[in-house]
Amino acid sequence: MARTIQEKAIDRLFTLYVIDRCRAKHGITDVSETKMHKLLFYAQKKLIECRCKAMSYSFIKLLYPTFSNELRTDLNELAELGFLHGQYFREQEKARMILEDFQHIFATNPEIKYLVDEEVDKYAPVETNVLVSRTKHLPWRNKIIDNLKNGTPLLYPLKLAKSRCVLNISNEDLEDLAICLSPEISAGMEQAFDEMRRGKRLTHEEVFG
Amino acid sequence: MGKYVDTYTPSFDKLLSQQRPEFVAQIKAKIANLTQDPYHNTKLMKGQYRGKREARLNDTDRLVFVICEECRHEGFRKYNQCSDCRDAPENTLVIAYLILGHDYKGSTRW
Repeated sequence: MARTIQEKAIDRLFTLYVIDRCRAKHGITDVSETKMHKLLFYAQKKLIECRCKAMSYSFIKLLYPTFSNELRTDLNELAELGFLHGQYFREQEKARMILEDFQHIFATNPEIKYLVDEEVDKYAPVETNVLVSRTKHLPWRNKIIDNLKNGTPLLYPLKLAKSRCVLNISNEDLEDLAICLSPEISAGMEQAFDEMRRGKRLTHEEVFG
Repeated sequence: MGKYVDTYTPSFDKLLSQQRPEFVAQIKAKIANLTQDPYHNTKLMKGQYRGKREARLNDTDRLVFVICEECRHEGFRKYNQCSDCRDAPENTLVIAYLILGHDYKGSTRW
């Protein structure tokens, strides 16, 4: 099922958070897409096991061997919007601003933050090829992940009815976050601020007659 | 005449021209209030939009603007970086953009 704009915004916040955690805690400035698919997979898996609803990523089995199409879209769009840079994703100033201004969301959700941190801290320092190999050998319903057919669903977003705890976020924060992470708004705002920076301004009479 | 002088980006002007006349009148009235007191019922924006303010027009739509006086006094120049900063009077308002709800509001929450 397609994510809502709000779910997308929360997913993107967590994606930026994980990249920031890799840098701040483990000194990893560039995180490959393959590694991101593993880190978010383990974080999402842990949250689902603990029946905590936060992210809405779905994962399927593929070659490396966990993959989320939504995460790929998010990483690409975050890079296009200038939050991340490079083929190996590196956090940019804009991403740090978001994380600073919305850090209270993590502070007011200590259990969710703890679970995500725990998984990121466990797997971020592991070399990507070792992590891929370990994940391939992860037991999964009487098999190991590597023996599943490509395309087999691994994780779905937790349903609200099954959740024990839900990310606590105010409507105001959710809207502010969606505005910051919306590609539709970003393009128009950037152009307007560029005009403002260059001193291209109209008077009241020019606009309203 | 308000205490603040309203100026506009061409992007805002373009967006405004696409709106219904009743909504344009609502925006005009809101701007008239802002020129009296741009701090009243408005809030600073977050993330990459630091240094800008937003005023709600209704449940979903927002005006984005900058107060030159606030920008200078609060150290927002590093975010806004206007080339004509020296020439703009302190009481200038730059009405920069119109955020429309359908650009960021989903149908449901969870």
